[in-house]
Amino acid sequence: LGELAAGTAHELNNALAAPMSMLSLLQMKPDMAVEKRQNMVEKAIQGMEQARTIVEGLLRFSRSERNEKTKGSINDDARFVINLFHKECAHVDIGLHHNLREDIPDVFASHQQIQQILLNLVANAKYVSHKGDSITVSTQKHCHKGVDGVMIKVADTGAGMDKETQQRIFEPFFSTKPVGEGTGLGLSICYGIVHDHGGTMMVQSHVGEGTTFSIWLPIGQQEAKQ
Amino acid sequence: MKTILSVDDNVVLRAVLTDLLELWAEDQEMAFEIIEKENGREALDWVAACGAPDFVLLDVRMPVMDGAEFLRQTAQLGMDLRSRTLLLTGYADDLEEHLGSDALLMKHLRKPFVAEELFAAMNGLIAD
Repeated sequence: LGELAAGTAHELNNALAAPMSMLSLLQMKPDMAVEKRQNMVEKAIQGMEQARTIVEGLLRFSRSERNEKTKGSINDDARFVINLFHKECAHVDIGLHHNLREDIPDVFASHQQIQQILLNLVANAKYVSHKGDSITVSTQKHCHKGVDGVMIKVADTGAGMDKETQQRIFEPFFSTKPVGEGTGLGLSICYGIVHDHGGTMMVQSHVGEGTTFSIWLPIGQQEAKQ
Repeated sequence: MKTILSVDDNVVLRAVLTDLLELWAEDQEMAFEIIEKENGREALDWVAACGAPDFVLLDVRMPVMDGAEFLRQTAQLGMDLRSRTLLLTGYADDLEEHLGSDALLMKHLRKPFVAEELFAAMNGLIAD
């Protein structure tokens, strides 16, 4: 929570720097030309939009804890996401493949959240991939510490990450993207969701070779209604 | 003409800093060229090619290469830019942690700031 608060403060301070300095300048120099004033107001609004994006990310973060779990197919979740990205990847010549085993069991999960995780992972994979690279989404049965479950992998052949980045990748607000292109919350939200489902989430990566995110989810069981 | 190197990964803030610096420069009645760079790596490449700028506005936390690493690497090129650098940081209280104990001796401005604070900081920078 401390990290989240510090990260939020840092990001909001950055986003608010533009509106605060621009509006104070307008107050300081009220006789500036209309065109200049409009330009400054526009930049102030852009800064506030960045702040809004941060707050929206936080709200998603808090909402991620309140989703109903139902029995359903992880493959359906994966297909839903693959279909969303299929055209977009083809357009930039990135191969989007899948290897979904049909013998995997249904899982008690918030399938909306599982889709959210896969959306994040495929979007990130696409971001770090270049023309000719490929992204593969796969599923298979996997028993972890004696508990039956499903292993989901999202692998790309893109830029890859060094060890230091891998160690920080799940931290709230850690991002390798320029400000405005990512909140740095996506993977920490994914990690939180997986943890909430009693699962595990890991990353393996090599610079220049690509990255694989592995998520294991237990089959789970219907929670008794109070 | 004096050169100001402005380094920040936030595209909106970079544009805002340029606007503010241009207005400040008008008041100084001095000609300044403002060079915008997105991260420490781009700034380092520029410094390696064009030499030390007269002043640097430097964000602390940036992807690819942060402000601390930029200062370390320019020092390795034989350019100590610390006395001509204004650090800009969104961190609440851990500037020292990110830049070492020297950081608190350097001129710095915490984000968000009002225009007058930036102008005062720039006046301090050119006075030294």
